[in-house]
Amino acid sequence: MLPFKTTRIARFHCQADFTHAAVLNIDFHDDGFRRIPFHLSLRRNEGVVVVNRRAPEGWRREIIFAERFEAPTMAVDIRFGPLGATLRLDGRLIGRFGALPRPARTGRFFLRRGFPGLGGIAHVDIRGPLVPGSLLMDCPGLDQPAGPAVNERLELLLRGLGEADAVELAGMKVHAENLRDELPMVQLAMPYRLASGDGANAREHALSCLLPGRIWQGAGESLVLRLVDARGGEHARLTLSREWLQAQFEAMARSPKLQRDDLFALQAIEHAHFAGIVDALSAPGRAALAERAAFFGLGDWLFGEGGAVTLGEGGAVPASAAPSARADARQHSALPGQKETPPQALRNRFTAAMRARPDSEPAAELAALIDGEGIGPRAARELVLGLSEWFSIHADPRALHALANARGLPPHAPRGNDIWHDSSVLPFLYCQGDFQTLTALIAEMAQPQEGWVVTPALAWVAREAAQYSPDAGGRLPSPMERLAIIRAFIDFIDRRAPDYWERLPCRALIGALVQILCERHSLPWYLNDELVWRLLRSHALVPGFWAAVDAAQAEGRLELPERMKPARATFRELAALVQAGGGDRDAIARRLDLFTRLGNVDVARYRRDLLGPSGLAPVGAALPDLADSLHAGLDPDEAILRQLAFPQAGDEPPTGLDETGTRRALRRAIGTAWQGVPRASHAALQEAVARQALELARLETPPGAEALACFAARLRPLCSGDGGFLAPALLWRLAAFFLHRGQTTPADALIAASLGLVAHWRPEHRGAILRETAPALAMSALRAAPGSERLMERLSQEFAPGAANLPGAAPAHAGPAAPGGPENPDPADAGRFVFDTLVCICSCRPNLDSRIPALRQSWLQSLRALGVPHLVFVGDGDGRREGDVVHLDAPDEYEGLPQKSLAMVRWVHDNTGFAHLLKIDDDCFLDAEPYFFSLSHMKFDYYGRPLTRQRGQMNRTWHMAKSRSERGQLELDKSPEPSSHADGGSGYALSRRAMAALVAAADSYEGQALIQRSFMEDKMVGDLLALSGITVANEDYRVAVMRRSRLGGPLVSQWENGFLPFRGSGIKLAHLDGVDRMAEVQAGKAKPVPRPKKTWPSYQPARLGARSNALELVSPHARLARAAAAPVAVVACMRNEAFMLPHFLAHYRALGVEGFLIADNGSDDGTLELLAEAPDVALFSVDTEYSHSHYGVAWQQALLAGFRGGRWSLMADADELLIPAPDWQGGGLPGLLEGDPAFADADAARVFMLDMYPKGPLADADFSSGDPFTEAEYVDHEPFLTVSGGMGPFTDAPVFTSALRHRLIAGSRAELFVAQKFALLKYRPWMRLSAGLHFVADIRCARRDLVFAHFKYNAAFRAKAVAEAARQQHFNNAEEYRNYLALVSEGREAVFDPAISVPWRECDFVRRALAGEVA
Amino acid sequence: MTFRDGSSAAIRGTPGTLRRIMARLGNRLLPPGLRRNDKPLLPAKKLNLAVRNCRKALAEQGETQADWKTVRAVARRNAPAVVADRLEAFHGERPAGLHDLRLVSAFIGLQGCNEQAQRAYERLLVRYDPWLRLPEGLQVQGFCGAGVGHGSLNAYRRVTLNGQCLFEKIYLCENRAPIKQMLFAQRHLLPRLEGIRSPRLVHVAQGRCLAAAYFEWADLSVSQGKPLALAASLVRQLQRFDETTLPPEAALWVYQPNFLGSCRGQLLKLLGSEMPARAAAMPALLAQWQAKLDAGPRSYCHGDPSLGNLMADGWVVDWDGCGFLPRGFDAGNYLGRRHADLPWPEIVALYRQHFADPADPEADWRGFVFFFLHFMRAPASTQAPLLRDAFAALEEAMTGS
Repeated sequence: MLPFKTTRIARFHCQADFTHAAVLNIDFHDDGFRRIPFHLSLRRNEGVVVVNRRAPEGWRREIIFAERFEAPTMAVDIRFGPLGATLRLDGRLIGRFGALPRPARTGRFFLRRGFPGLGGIAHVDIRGPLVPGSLLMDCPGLDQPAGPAVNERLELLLRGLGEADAVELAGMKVHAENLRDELPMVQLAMPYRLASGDGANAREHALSCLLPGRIWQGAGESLVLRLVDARGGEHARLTLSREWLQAQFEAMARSPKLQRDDLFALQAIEHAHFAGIVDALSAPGRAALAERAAFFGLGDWLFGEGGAVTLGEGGAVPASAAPSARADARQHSALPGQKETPPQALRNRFTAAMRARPDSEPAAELAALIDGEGIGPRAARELVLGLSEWFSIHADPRALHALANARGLPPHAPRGNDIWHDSSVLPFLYCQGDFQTLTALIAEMAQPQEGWVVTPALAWVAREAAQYSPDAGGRLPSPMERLAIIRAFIDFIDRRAPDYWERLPCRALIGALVQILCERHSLPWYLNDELVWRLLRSHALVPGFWAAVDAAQAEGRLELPERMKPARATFRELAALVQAGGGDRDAIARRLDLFTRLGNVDVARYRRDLLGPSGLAPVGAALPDLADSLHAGLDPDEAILRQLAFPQAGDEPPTGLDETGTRRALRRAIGTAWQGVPRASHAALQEAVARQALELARLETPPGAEALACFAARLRPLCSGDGGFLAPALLWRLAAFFLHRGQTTPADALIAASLGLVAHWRPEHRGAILRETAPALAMSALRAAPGSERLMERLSQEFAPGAANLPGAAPAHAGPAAPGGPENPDPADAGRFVFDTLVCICSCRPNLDSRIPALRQSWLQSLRALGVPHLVFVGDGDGRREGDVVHLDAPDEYEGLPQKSLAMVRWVHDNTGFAHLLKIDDDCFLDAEPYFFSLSHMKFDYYGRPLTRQRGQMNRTWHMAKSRSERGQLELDKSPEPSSHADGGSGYALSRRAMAALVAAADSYEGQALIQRSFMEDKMVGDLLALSGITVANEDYRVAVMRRSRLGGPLVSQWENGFLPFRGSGIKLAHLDGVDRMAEVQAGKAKPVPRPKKTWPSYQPARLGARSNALELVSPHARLARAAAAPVAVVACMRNEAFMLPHFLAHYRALGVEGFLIADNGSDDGTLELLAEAPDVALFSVDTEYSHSHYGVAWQQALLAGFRGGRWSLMADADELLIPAPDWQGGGLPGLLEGDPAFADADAARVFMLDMYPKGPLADADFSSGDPFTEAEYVDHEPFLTVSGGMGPFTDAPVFTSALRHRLIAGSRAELFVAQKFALLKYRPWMRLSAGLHFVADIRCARRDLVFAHFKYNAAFRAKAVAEAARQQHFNNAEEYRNYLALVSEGREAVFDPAISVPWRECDFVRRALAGEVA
Repeated sequence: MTFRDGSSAAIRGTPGTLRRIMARLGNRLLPPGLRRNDKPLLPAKKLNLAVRNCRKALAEQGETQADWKTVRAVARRNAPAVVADRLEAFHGERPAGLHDLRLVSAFIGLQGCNEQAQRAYERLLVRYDPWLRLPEGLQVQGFCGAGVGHGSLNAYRRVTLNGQCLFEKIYLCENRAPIKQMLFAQRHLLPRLEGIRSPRLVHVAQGRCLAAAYFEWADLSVSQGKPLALAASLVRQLQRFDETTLPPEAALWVYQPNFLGSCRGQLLKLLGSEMPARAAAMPALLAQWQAKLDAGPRSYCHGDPSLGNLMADGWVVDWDGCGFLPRGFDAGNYLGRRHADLPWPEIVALYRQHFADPADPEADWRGFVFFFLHFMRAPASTQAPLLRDAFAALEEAMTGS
């Protein structure tokens, strides 16, 4: 965004660069960013130039000009004058755009509106690549302050310099009185024309310094900045005062730029932090700043950790959570300090009353309640809507509708964006007879979307329609309307069925489906059939459905369709087999075949659970044979991946299968599982021809024409956009190699073959392939080969007849033979020429003696065998090269990385002739063969693992802890977003064209500005390349990123979940966070089995990469075997629980638990290390974000299905300790489950979560010094509330919620804080776990409940709340934790209340529950 | 038609008794669906050409809201005389036979959206099949295109029903196969295909001779996506289905031997013109090969993966012809119609890369070559060498095993 004023005659000129990108957009904004009076879009691929404008109401009609875009660059010239704008491209007049309307045949009234407001343009925004330095603007209206000045971005600028002045003043620095270091001024070629200059000297230059906020640190009321030139003389002086800064901020808060311009906002946040003027700002200024800080995740940094900013309204909320907390306050009125809203309270009172007097008339009860309270119509309407679900389950919503009508409440209508609201409205729509809206609404709800569907209401509507019931006015739906409702309902079920977490087992939904099935004879034939098939597809493996069918049949309502009978019988047999222990795999597989034929959505899960590597095999049984698994009907590729990666599979290759076939299948499976990485269309061919090319080049005697022709014929599919035009590139590279060896005959043959490949193409298409990376670079390597003139002439004739030089080709470079390469290469150097890549290891001086030798021992050897050269780059040098080490003239410490990387690229570009460089850190392992033989890197200019950051996603303080200089420790990273770049930690490759673009960009105005603002090396490279339109590609770039949370801890996958390189995997690189495992990885590379071992939840396919839900085994196999075989095991997910962990393990060991299966989610407080050492813990690590795990249940499902099928497992969080009842009699938990008849035929048990807290302040409950049961022994006298309605899907029984949490956060929705879990399970494949485990479908519940003591309230609570509120991974952006923080900030540190609290042993409910009297 | 258990049913015209009645009472007394109207008024190719010419003429006249009178006038000038005659007859509201219906429905879509035209079209349908009850509350938005279906009428309409925007397609039910196959695809195939979408069927109004199917409206007018990738994905996913992975209904719709017969005729014509020397031996040879394909494995096929049926964003429409066909049918059909301008080795490369079953690359090869030859639409300049190469490949494949 640059200032550009058109108050007088103004001119805009630039040169678009279409070498790498296809689109250039230029927006001319007005002052307030409300309209774009002029917009120009050049779209090369569409071959059009579009002119348009945007008014506040939106874009107007496009004016389109056809354009051919023949040259890679195009000069754009726009002149703004008093009568309009004139557009010229490459000097040709394209059009004039005046302010007045002009005639147009297609316009309304045969007029097209003109371009009003051209005189009010104030900014120009250019999106797309320009030729560096080509931008030039002449706008006399722009104010040019004389001398140094600070602009609104707090950037010190010395403007208005001619080129000569700028050179003279180069090296100027800024001294601030309180800074130890000097701030360098960057010389800029401004995009403006000097009023005084003419000709070549016309361009304005400037010196600029983006002032960091730290200049205010330790400064007084005012601050003096001195501009000192290179000789030390003072050039100018500038005084800034806090008062001035405050005025700037107040203006800023009102400026629309704060929202749009991230640099502007970041500067404001940084300066506000260091100047300490937040409190002095006005309320709107503070709120605006807080809002932006929260957007960038800098709330804590700006206001101090856990600090709160007082907003004008809504009370105090933690700064980091400010915007979302406010949004919630609007939505749910759930913030403390607000009264419980009447509708919610009344809803709870109504349901309580109905529980107390089940025989009373609900409508009358409700009417009495409304009258008694005297609430207004609005609240009454909300109450009625909230009770839609209750009435749908327990009574007739018609009564509710009648009540609403009688009271004159306005009718309910859908909102469109709130699925809870809209599904609650359904029964009212039915009662109103609005069947059309109803159908449309159900159809809309069928699209999977976020939010809670009130399934009982939906089911009621479907049931009524099936029974042909009239609406409230007695009108029947027409047959078409009825069919439409039923149709939409079946669609809803069908579309939502494949998602495991959807509530398909909901009893109400099943009831409605069975009802429709009963009425199926009244449906037309096609719908009748459809219904049966769809039900078999979605519900044939749901026991609850068959139970409902049986019940309906017993009542004589249903005559089961013939087609369903085999499915029911087969399911019964299957269930019996599973209950019996599931030993007979064949029998199970045979029965599942039927469900496969039916296309059932659950059958994949059943197969994985029953026939996968673990199955329901007896304890200690060996894994099934791989061939057996393949024949069990699982997807073969996935089955191989799951089985070979299974934690209990050994490290030996599987026997009994063709090894090559297994390897190929595994590789295909890895490709499928890695969804974020696109696959090359011809991956296998690419690898084969790369190997063949190398073999041909390595022959002692040059290959004959026939062999070369054969080779060329094989390349044919690669001569297309799909194949990246690798075919000509490979042929030319080989030709270049033979020329270097002085063998012209094979070179001639190769050139002829390459021409043969494109012989039938049209000449212009032949020329176009030279724009592609691989052929362009290969051709320039060929040009550099000795004696290539004759061949080049021939190629130019064919590819660009008439042109002296080939268009679009990369600048000529010396090729891999230049400095450092052999003069007369022998065949062993073939790799250097075929791959033409220099591997650049980015290291630092201290690592030269530690890490580099380890690399030489491991993967550098394979690299050498391949003939690919490498260099090690370190800083603090002078650009000299010693052996394979280059000492760059760049800083060597962490924060100098951006400069070091740039210096490295510059060095490679200037001193070598390689076409590609692969930058790799010294803690990575490169598997050279998969990387080079895949050839994918040759197709792209910028190749690596892409990281994309939307605005506000980047952590801008990441570098601070690692930095040593004041700049690094105190300044924010102000680099631009959105941005996409290759991850530096897992290596990236640059082509010669990208190197040139990077070097040019680094020298340009925009590049200089970028470098000044960046701290992350990889992101800076991506941002600089984006200036030239080069974007990152990752075709087949599969890598594993492993990290350790602390020094010496276990190495676990993080962010990019993959395997270490192994034979045949195609995995190219592993980030190992050090070199201590290099040797091990080098040895494992040759084995055809994946490591580390992983397992996945069985409801989803095996996935790799980010958000894969893959659990990686950390502890030894033996521990897992022991935990899996334990009669009762604890299954848990943890993150940073070092505080509770010792109590947790000790408590359950004392209860007789012999094994723990624990998934650690990125702990960095030592939990991971503690768990890794525990002898009875089978430890897994999982790197998926918690918010994508359905509250950890996805991982628990993986552990249950993989290791605990048919055996009792207790799912406990770290702060949940099971309270033993007196009658357990020393047998512990296993004894109870074995001996108590209440558990005899059950496979699940409900566990209450009893909130425990200390008598004093929370800070006193420090469990490190004592037992939690004594430190926090108090509970509420009545610890649980009950609600009914709201949790209908899985149960009709009342649901228990925590009284304490409702007491603490009064006014919360009644259904929040559920305090029950079905945490004790004997896992079966048909069980459907819900997020949070509060409900589980299709279980047989024990007749006795258990109780967890829940130790959430303790000394560590506040810190956890702060961390979780910032992380926003819990329910509704960690709403609960944010609310707690709000309480704590009010000074309510204790939760004990003498009137309510009692020691837990004295609590009546607990006594009854432990005695088994509640259930 | 042959069923899986080996039994067969031959439907050759109407049963004998009826034939005798027809002879006695004459054609006119029969219900329209059984009327003997054997010869199409115009071959499908010519009919399409005539429609296209008329559409062009209308566009040149700038008529966006043409009425029936204009359409007839344009047809009089731009189509064979029989067309205009039959259109006049329709205007005269005389009873119509099947071929009349086909012809009129091909032209009626050229009209703008006027109420009169819609009612006239619906009357035409109902006169032909009095048992067809179009759904109540149907609101017609207008004609939205014309097709060339064999099992369906050529006029498509955009309608609203219960507030939902739908696409109407009228199936001919003398032979129930097309609609049943479409329903089968809707029920069993589409939910199991990944990345392939098709408008959902919402309602069927069933008569005795016609059935009106209503699909969810999807804007399919967008530009072509990547047809090759989509076709490949379609073929590879359908390849996975065999009789053991689909419900038993699938087996009802095995391919019709007659269909292969028509392939043979086409092939003979092509090859005979190219290799006159061997023309005499060819029928026997082809019959032998056909028997081989008949006996060979079958996989589920879409049946008509032409460009018009593969849209951007994974939309695949027109599942009327799907069923168990000899393996390689879809691949041969697609490549033969779309890529026959390439030399044979490149076609083979495309096939191996995109269509061959990765688990068993040779399984579809024979069928592919056979159907490629059948569907091949090569430019005249390259037809001869391509025919020769492909035929050589077919010969090798058929005799090799």
